[in-house]
Amino acid sequence: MRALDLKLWRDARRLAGPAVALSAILACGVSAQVALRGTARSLERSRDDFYARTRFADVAAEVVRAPLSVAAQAAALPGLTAVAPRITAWALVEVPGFADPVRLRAASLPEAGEAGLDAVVVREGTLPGRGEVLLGEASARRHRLSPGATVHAVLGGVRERLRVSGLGTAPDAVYVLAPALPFPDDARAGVMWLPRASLEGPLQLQGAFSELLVQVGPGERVQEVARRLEALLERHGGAGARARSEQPSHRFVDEELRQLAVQARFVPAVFLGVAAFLLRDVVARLLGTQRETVALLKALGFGRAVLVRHYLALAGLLLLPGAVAGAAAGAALVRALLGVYALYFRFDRLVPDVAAGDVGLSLAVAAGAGLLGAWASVRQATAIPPAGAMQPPVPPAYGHGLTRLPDRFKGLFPGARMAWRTLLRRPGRTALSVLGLSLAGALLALSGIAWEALGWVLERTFQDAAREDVSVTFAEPAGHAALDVLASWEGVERVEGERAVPVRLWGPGGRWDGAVTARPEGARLRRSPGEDGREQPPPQDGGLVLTDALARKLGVSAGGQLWVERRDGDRRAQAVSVAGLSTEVVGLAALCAPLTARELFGGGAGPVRPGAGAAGGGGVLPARGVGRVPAADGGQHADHAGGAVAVRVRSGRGGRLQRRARGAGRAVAGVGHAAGAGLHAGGVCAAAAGGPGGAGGGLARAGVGAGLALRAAADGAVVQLGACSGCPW
Amino acid sequence: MGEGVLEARDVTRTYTSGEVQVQALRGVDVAFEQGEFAVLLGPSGSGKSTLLNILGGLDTPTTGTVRYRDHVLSGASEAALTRYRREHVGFVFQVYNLVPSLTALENVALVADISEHAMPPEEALERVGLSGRADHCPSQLSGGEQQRVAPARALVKRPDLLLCDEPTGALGTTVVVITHNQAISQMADRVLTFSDGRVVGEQRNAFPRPPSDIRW
Ligand SMILES: Nc1ncnc2c1ncn2[C@@H]1O[C@H](COP(=O)(O)OP(=O)(O)O)[C@@H](O)[C@H]1O
Ligand SMILES: [Mg+2]
Repeated sequence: MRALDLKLWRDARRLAGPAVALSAILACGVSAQVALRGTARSLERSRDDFYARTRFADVAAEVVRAPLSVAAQAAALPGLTAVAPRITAWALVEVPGFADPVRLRAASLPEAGEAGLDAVVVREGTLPGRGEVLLGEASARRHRLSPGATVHAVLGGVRERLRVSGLGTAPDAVYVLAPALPFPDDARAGVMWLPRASLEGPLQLQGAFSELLVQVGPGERVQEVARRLEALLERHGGAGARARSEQPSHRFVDEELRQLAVQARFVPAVFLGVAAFLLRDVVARLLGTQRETVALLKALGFGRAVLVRHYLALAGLLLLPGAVAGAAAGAALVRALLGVYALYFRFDRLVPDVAAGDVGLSLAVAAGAGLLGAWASVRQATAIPPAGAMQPPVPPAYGHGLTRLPDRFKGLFPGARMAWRTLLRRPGRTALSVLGLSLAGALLALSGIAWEALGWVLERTFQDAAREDVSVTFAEPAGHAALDVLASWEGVERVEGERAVPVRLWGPGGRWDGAVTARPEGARLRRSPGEDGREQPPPQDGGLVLTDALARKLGVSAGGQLWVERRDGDRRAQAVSVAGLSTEVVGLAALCAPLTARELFGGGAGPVRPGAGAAGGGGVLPARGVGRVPAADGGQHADHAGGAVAVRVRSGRGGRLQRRARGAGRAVAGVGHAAGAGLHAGGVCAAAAGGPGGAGGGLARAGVGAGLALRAAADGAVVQLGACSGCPW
Repeated sequence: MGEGVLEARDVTRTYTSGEVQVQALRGVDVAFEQGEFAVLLGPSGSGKSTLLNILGGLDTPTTGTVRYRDHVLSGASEAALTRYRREHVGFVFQVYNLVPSLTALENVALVADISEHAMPPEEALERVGLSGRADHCPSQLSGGEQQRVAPARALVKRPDLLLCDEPTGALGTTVVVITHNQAISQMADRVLTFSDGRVVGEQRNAFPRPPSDIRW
């Protein structure tokens, strides 16, 4: 072997120590890029594959009840390639050993020979027969329910004993958001599938369907198809047709993946930038020590090209282990991360997808920077004639303007002056160092900021915006007497009711299917912060308060105009003004005063007034009212009749709040059941009203998620959300 | 002064560092003939090394011309100078400058690798009496031994021109040697005396003495 090649190997071996450090830096930069981008891509591809395999519907439309013949009519609409009618309904399920009710959305499975959409992938066990149920994987695993276990489900008012035949997942149930649950929570919300025959009876949907799944042909406009479907289904109690982009599971998945994709772009770029910076500098300095040897070789007659190649090869050898380790670690990390994500993304399978492009690009950037350092260093050593280069370097010149700057500050002690001169002598390099350090600092901050941000969101949400300890959701309208009963409950300090009306809002920038919430005047448990940070209550003289996110989506600002259309009952579109914006951190919401809701949507509730009477005008109507314990005087409360109603309970302050809140939640459901007259005016949460066992609609907010932290605020206690098993933080 | 194979005409060299300028050579005219053994003598700082570097293509003059046979070295490109050094010059540096990660033999082989008529590196080491130390790295050699690798490395390529900056040891071809050692100058064909950047004297030895006769 030629002597120069021998030198190459010997030097590489001699520099093994620094090479380890270089490799570590390089491996960090490369593996971060490969891992994060690979994970994001794997998830995206796994999702797309999953959607394709399971024929995820492009549009889903819910109806109250439509005969199956309507599905055939729908199939004849232009632009559709497949329709699949099915029965869906929320059910309450009692899980042995779990105190809170679990809400599972039941869906019928296609009969033999039917083309199913949103097909179920059985992950364990088998498809269900009569008397059996296929449980959604996430909640089943959360409750350790395996095939063979038994659960009781209340469906359409009938309590049934069901044997678990298996666990499965489906594209519309990757995440499940139950009504009134702000986050996915595997412990309390999920899905299940049953044979059509098991659902028809209890839900009285023989020969009918309650949801139509549709696949749209390629090149067709999904929104147009949705409009046609809505028109067809309107007279069957259609609640609007939702494109995928409005489908909760998909939206949640999409949002998560988009966040991941952003992170996967930004975080590794910072890592890589820092790595590249360090590699360039360290390699340049490392080879800088060979300056005299470079000059000697040149003096002996080695050409510059040979020397550049030699030192690039040396740098390459030093960087090689890091490159291999980085790529390998990145690929391994993708697998490991997918293992973690498998708990959150219930696709049927997660296939690692490591792109050669990511490996190549990150290697090119990081190793390229190292090689650049080597090149710069050799170039410097060969730039001057070897006679000069073989001598020790000339002491650096400290003459130019900047380095004289510290002299102006007489107070500087000599050490500081030295340091400043060194920094100012090469301002470019100093600036780069500062940039590198900043990026490194940014990385640290970035890793911490997610938790900080989450903490901030939780604090804003549960300390300022939703300050109740327990929220009770009624599936059907409840009368104001419900508030009285809840308020009379021991430990309940304050009760406030809200009315929610499902609507579609149209603005210049888009539309939104959601709900308008009527909040009583003087509400203290639920508040919306305005843009100036102070509360922004809905104005009594009309108009909506939108969250700024919703305003953006609809393309309006304060003072603007929207169209509102009820999604149930009377669907006339009406103009409504935007009275103001709130800055709530979680999601999209529209608020109004109870009076406004009555004007827009009808109903019997007037403004809060002492001595307000019994339920007004039948049918559909808002809940509202403010109560205080002891709230024996029902006169404090306004009427409730119709609409979706939420009642919130705030229990006493201090210590064992969590248990009490849970207790209160359960107890409220119990009351709902027992108090008959009072709550039955509207019917507490469908199941509680109809079903035995007291598995009512009491939703202890304190129980959302596992591991809750409680915090006592000055005027009471505020429940904070900790890690939630269903949330991907 | 007659025509030589290696010739410097009116050569000056000014070092500039910052605002300080040092005139190391102030107009040197010298010529060396084929096979001549010349010695440069002179006090420290008089410009001997500077001239030798310029003659060896390691440095370029500020003004003046330098010529080796038909190669004009003054103003030649970097690549041309590199080729000149590789093909014609053997250099023994003032500090011995070995590649630390190569053995004595490999240091010599390094030059043999890129030369066309090189002798076997072992032979070059033998000539300086270092055969027994061939496989030792510079760090395992004594100062004197390291000093002897340098001439072996210069000789292995059978250079047309051997330039030695204050060496100790015995050599052969056209040799320009800088030395303080009066004994070496007794071996030379010609001794040039240097002072203050100029050649101030020249003395021909009619009878150069062989090394064996010299009392060190
Ligand atoms: N790289 C250099 N930069 C500045 N001055 C130098 C450099 N090399 C040599 N000199 C100066 O040039 C003069 C001649 O130096 P040199 O040729 O090394 O003398 P000698 O070899 O005769 O001792 C001295 O004054 C020395 O300080
Ligand atoms: Mg000298």
